[in-house]
Formats: sequence, C-alpha cells, structure tokens
Amino acid sequence: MLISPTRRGGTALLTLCLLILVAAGAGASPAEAAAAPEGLPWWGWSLLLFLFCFILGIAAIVAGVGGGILYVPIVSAIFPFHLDYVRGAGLLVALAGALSAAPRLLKSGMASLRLALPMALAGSIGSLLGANVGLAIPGRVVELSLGAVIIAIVALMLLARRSDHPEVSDPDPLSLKLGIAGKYEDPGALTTVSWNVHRMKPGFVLFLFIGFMAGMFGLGAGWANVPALNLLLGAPLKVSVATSVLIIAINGSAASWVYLNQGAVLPIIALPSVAGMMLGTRLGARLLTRIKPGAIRWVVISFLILAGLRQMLSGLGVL
Amino acid sequence: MNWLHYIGLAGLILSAIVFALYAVGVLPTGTSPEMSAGSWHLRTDEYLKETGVEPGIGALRASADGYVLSVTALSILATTSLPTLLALALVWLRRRDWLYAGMSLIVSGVLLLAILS
Repeated sequence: MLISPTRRGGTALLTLCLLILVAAGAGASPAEAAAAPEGLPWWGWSLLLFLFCFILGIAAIVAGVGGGILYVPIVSAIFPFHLDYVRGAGLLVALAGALSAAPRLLKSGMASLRLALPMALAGSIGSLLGANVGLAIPGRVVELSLGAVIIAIVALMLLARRSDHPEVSDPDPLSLKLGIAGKYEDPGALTTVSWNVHRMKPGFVLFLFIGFMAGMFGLGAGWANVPALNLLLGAPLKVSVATSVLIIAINGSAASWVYLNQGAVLPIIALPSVAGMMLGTRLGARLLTRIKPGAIRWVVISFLILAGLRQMLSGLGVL
Repeated sequence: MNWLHYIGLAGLILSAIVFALYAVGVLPTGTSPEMSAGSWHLRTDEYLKETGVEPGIGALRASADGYVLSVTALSILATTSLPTLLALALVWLRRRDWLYAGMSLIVSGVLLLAILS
C-alpha cells in the first residue's frame, strides 16, 4: 500500500512529539520532577495534554464541532494552566487547523476569497481589540463571560437552522460592487450551484463582534462565522463552512500575535496542543465514514455545557 | 494559496524541532521547562515577573535562548497569513482590482499592527 506524504508527515510528527516528551522526561532529574506542580512533572502534563488534544481532535471532527471551540473550555477545566495560556494556545490550535485546510478548500472552489476578505477585515480588527481587552480585564470576569459564551454557543449549535441554499433574490449594492458571487459543482446533487449574498453592512458589524469574541476568549470562530455567512449573508452552507476557514486563518493570526507579544504563549502548553489537535483531526477525518457521530456529538455537547457551567461558577468564585 | 499550507507546515515542524532541543536541554535557556511549569498557574504579568521572561519582539535580543526560540518558531505559524495576503495584493494589483488590492493591504496592515504592538 502506498502511503501519502501527508500521512507519512503526520505519523512522523506524532512519533517526534512522543519522543520529545519521553526524552525530556528521561533527562529530568528527580528534584526537577518534584518541583513541578500538581504531582506530575512538566513533561507528564505536556504528554497528557498532547494525548488529550489528539482525542479532542478526533471527537471534534466526528461530532462536527470545531476544535477551537472545544479546546479552551475543556482544557482550562481539566488542566492546571492559567486561562491566559489556554486562550493563547487555543488561538494557535484554531489557526493551525485553518491554515492546513484553507488551500484545499480554495482549490475545491467552495471557499470564496472575495467573500472572506471584507469579513476578515472586520474580524481581524475585532480580534485585535478582543485579544487586548481579554488580557487586560480581571480573570474572574473572563471566566464568567467565557462560561456564558460557551452556553450561548451550545444553544446556537442546537437551535440554529441551517439552509443549504438560501435564496438571495436581491443582492445588495455593496456585494455587487465587490463582485461577491460564485458557483460551485455540487457532486451530491450533480448540479452547478450559483450563489450571491446580501446584507453586507450588518454582516460587517457582526464579523467585527465575532472577531472580538474569538480574540477575547481564544476561540476559533467557526461556530459563529458559519451561521453568520449562511443565515445573515445568504451564502450556501458549503461555501459558508469553507469561507469561514479562510476568515479564521486571518483573524486567528492577528489575535495570536497579541498573545505572543504579551507573553501568554507557553511552548510547553502550545506545542503539544497544536500537534495533538492537528493529528487528531486528521485521524478523525479518516474515521468519519466508519463512526456514527450521533452519540459522540451529544457527549461533546454535554462536556461543553459542563465546562461552560464550571467556568461560570469559577468566575463567580464558587469553585 | 499553497503558501499558507507550506509556511504553516514549516512553522509547525520548526516549532517541534526547536521545542525538542529546548525540552531535552540542548539549547541553553534562562527559563527551563520546569521553571515555566512551576508558574503556569499564574496570570501572564505574574508569570513574566516570576520567570524573568521578556515578552514580544524585545525577547529576540536573547535569540539563542531555547524558550525564546521555541516561542519564535510558534510565531512563524501566526505570521503565515501576512505574506499570503501581500502576495494576493500583488495579484489583485496586476488585475487592476484596486478595491481588493487595497483591502488586502489594509488587512496586512492590521496584522502588522498586531505583530509590532
């Protein structure tokens, strides 16, 4: 059997990461290991984080939930890291996933650069502001509002209707001026789908807000980008999902730099997280055809609700 | 757009290699993984005070430090979109699509502001 370069690269990266963490453990003196918090040496936590993110990556794909949205609430609920570093790593996790998927989505014709760029302009300004605000306000306020946002996102996931091909009978003048329209081949329906958009101005304001939230809480923004593109602007669902990835690739970049510049990215947290999630999502994509997503989706949503409630209680000083 | 994939992948592989050298102690560092782990429960300002890490571009003065190199390698991942947007601006300039060329340059400006702030 031929092994693709991508698969070889993934396996090599997985092996490299495991070797690094085991080698680091072998090199650490007992005194150093004892000095690390919570009983486990640092490399034990990093290894645990890597394996946890690997599983989270599989669950995210199988359950059809973005990895970025799962990472921050669940990792901050389970691991002993301050929320600042989890948010910093969360942005890199979302960014790495988006960068890896964007070229393929553009080649397929599903992602639209002409639609993504104006929304990314608003989103990147929002995420820059959100990241700065998120690192400046007290931790308890961030925890409380993150918990509320997670619960709201779960409600959005459960309640929002999706429309495969929304009807846009009257594209607005701004979208016509920007030439935002397109067509793509739908292999399922064996047809060519033409699309255009409307409500550009409210869309611009909404993406400013989504960017702000994503930067403030270190979340990937697929949970909000897709409904905004699909239900507000009227882009087909497949175009919305693909274009959302391009927007995350730009907005995540701006917010990540704020966290990097303020020292809120720790290599011993960020690297195992990014590597684990990337490898997990690759495996998840392969398992997608063999696993029934229903039960896993409900387990993931239950975890998200618990993590959101925990954040709120922690923010209120109850935990 | 393949740039996105290849620069991102290069950033990730470089991050893994530099992190490996830092983690096993090959690269000299003022902030060992043990020291970093001992303060990862603190908020960022307290962490920086405790570990003596200098954040941002200023940290590049200690460019041989394993911790700084690990963060720098991760920052390549965060910078990937910038050259891609600049390349897109050039493509749109050649097509005389001034609106989208301008928009690409403005988004690049926002990213540059984030990098330099």
